[in-house]
Amino acid sequence: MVKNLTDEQLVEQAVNDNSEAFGEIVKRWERKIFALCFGMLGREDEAGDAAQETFILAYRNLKNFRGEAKVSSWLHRIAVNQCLTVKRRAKTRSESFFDDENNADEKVFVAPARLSPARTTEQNERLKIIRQAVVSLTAELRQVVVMKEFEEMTFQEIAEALDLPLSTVKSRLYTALKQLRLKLERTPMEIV
Amino acid sequence: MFAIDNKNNLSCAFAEETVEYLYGETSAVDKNAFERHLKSCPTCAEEFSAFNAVRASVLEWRNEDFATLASPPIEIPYRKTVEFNQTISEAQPPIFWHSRFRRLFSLSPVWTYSAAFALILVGICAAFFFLNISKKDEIADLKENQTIAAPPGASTDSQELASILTDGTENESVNEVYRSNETATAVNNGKIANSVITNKSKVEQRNINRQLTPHKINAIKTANQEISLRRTKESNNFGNKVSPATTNKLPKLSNFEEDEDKSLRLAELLEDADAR
Repeated sequence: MVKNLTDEQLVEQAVNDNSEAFGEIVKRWERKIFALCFGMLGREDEAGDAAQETFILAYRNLKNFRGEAKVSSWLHRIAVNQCLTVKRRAKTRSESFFDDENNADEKVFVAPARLSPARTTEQNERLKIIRQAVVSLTAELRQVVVMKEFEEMTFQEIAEALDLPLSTVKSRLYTALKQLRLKLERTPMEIV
Repeated sequence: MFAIDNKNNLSCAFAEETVEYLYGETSAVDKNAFERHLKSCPTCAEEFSAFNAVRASVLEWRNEDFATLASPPIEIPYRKTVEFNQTISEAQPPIFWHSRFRRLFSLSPVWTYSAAFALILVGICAAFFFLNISKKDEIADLKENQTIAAPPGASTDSQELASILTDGTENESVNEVYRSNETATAVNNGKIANSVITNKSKVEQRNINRQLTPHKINAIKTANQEISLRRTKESNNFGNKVSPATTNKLPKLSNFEEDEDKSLRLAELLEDADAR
């Protein structure tokens, strides 16, 4: 029954304490929100926490949701803010140096999110560098790259989610790709 | 065509077209135009190639580190709602009205305090109300129990008369005996018509003499004397001298209405007594 409803209709039902309706929203968007959080934070555990907090916040603020924006945009905005919050907490705890561009050259890295024995050391190193390069981008540029590459959203969808003009989204992505190119070219690695 | 941005870097004017073409979000017309441009612009071609490599790296990171990850379980602290499903309501005990009140008061202590204050207020108002009623009742009883001034020679204390005529006991309950100047004074050794008037009509002052025979008048006088003698004895026993004058001074009834007197007339009683 709830599967045939739009996101906005589901929210309307969820406001009236229909837990099944909100469950459907979670089901539809949990993967994409998790992808966004993973791309923004680079760590599975932090990404999981941020995704959980995103949906909890969304549930608590259902009544504040105005029908002006799409539900996906609303969720993305909450998720990005949560990622920034988690990042600030991590920075305060000095557990990670991802966000500090000055420390990017230091050889202190957080352990990769997932280490597979089947992967070569070289591959792991390469992935580490890429992860570091993406996470070291500023939040504005990072979220556009992550939404494009991890969530596979269109420019229009990104523009709606971030409430930005279409041209701004494209120019930000262009700038992000340029910076990534510089960072990756600076680090000796074989780009496949 | 190239432009120099604020950092003195060469920046292709086809920036937007580059990313659109890179991610396949360009129209067919624009796609052909950009491809023609790439062929004629080595810088843009090189930049496009580099962007492709960067994108491939990011995708590799996504596929290696993220694609194989399972989505974390999302636990939402849903608000508990009571579902009045028929099967559930059958299984669960019914919710009583007082449990809803308890739930209401448990929401906030303000409710509890407000309810307590309201109860106290209601109690005080009820106490005042009942006090007033009881006072009114007392006043009404007092008025009802007052005797009217009887004409001379007539008995004004029917209670005492009745007690004399019924073996002198004064303890019988005569709360509903209304003083009337026509109560029985027949000397009948205790057998008098029961002049307890159960209806609550008010006392009227009557002229007893108008229908009494001399014989009857003497009987009444005798009874009155006996009453006054008894009172004198009692007052002496208590150390209080009560003068006959004062004993006969009973509070007068005032402003009473003349209702239909349904009591037995003294005359009728005396006639009965004579007849016997």
